[in-house]
Amino acid sequence: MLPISAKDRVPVIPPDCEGQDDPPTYYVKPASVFERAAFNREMTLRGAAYPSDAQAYAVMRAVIRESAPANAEALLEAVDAVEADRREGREPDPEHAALLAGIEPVLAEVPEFLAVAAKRAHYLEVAPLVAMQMFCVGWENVGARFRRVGGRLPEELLAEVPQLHALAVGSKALELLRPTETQRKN
Amino acid sequence: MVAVAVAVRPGDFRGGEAAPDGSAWELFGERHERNPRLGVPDWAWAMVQIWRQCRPMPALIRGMAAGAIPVVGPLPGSGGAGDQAAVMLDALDLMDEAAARMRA
Repeated sequence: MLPISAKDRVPVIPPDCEGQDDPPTYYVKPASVFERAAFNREMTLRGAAYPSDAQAYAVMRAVIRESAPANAEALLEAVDAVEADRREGREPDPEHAALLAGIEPVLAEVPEFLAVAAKRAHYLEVAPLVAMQMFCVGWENVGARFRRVGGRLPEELLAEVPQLHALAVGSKALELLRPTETQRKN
Repeated sequence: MVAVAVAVRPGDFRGGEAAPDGSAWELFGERHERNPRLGVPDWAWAMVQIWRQCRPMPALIRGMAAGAIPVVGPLPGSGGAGDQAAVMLDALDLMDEAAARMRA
């Protein structure tokens, strides 16, 4: 069941504390439409954008065309097929997946492809932290005293939270931003 | 979306696991060999209840003044539009879309 109101508080117990007596418990709120827009703005300001699969596959195609290996045609076909499978939520054909896995060492040397990978890594690292700052509204059994300044967790307080906890709490807040694929299907 | 499909056209999903004529269910571009109604979790039925209350079907008028009378339902949570969870509003829009596709 999805949270109904942006005033709801969803408890999160980090995975390393499950089963403990009185575990550290963090509370996150689902974003309202305006808060989600503010989160997106914050991510843009921090230069954290997640390049789409379409962008990644476009770079892959460009690399294949430029390097023109003997099996370029088969590789391009495999890229098309894997992209379509992923888009439809299907498992890619193992033969196509193996073909693409074979060019990974080549891609790892191409600056344009590395830039896409780096942007994704940056987003995945920053997004949970920003989400925790903006949507964590309280905690219990955590050493530091909870406070928000200017509607968010100050960075020095965020630094006192164990990294694994920040990741778990931020990931939950991100999950509450929009319906997941499973929720959409059901 | 599957829960909405079942709610909008329940007759299509009556019966057991397999289709009586040995065929399958095609829903939103996916083929289901097993009756998709049986795989819908409880939380999704609860979502359908909320959707029905918040997004009632527009009333249809026939005859010379034929058309739809738009209707507005309540917001799912207390407060105004800015107090609602964005994820819930997205879900209601998705369910509207699923219902429109089933009725098309």
